Amino acid sequence: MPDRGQAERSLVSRLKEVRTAAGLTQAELAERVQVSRKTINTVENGVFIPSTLLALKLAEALGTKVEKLFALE
Amino acid sequence: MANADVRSRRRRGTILAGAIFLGLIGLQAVSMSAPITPGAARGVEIVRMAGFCALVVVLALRSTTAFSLVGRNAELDDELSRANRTAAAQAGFLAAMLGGVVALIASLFVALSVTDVLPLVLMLGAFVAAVRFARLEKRGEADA
Repeated sequence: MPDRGQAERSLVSRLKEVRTAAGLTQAELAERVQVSRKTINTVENGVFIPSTLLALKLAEALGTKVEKLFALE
Repeated sequence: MANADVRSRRRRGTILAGAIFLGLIGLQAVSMSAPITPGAARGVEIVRMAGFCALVVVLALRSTTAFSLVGRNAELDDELSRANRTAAAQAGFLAAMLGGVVALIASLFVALSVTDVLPLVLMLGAFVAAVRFARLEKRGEADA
């Protein structure tokens, strides 16, 4: 039986912290992963949950692991 | 990608303007429409209907698919835009379905012809999809 609390856990994005630490702007990161700046902005604000593919691309572009960018609440 | 931001804003503005224009046409059609005689439509009626259909189709395609008259732009077709289009298509579909249901119920009480109902159902679906897409796209436009 799935735990209801487990199902309601949401994603926490640390993308902004990691991107800022890497000295990149949203536009620069967007260009690296070939998406629009809006996509980076909405991922950072938690409005949009990226696909696994995009999450991996973001991690690669920032030289880190996906687990450092995103975590479960 | 700064150009992509500008193009994205332009696309959102165009879609929103199209939706408002379509809404005005729809309202005008409700208040001023005269019944079209089947098989004897006048030239002006055919042109008006063709224009309306073209606007509905273009607006629906622009807000729910990657369709563009001037060629597909990869920067405007990223993951976020695709997700927004899916949500817009869902909203437009629901609006059109509800519009159809309301028209069906209304037909129990008043005489409605196809030319009364279909333009409004089409307009409702395309309008809601376009507005929903424009609103979703606006979410990501805040400055960094």
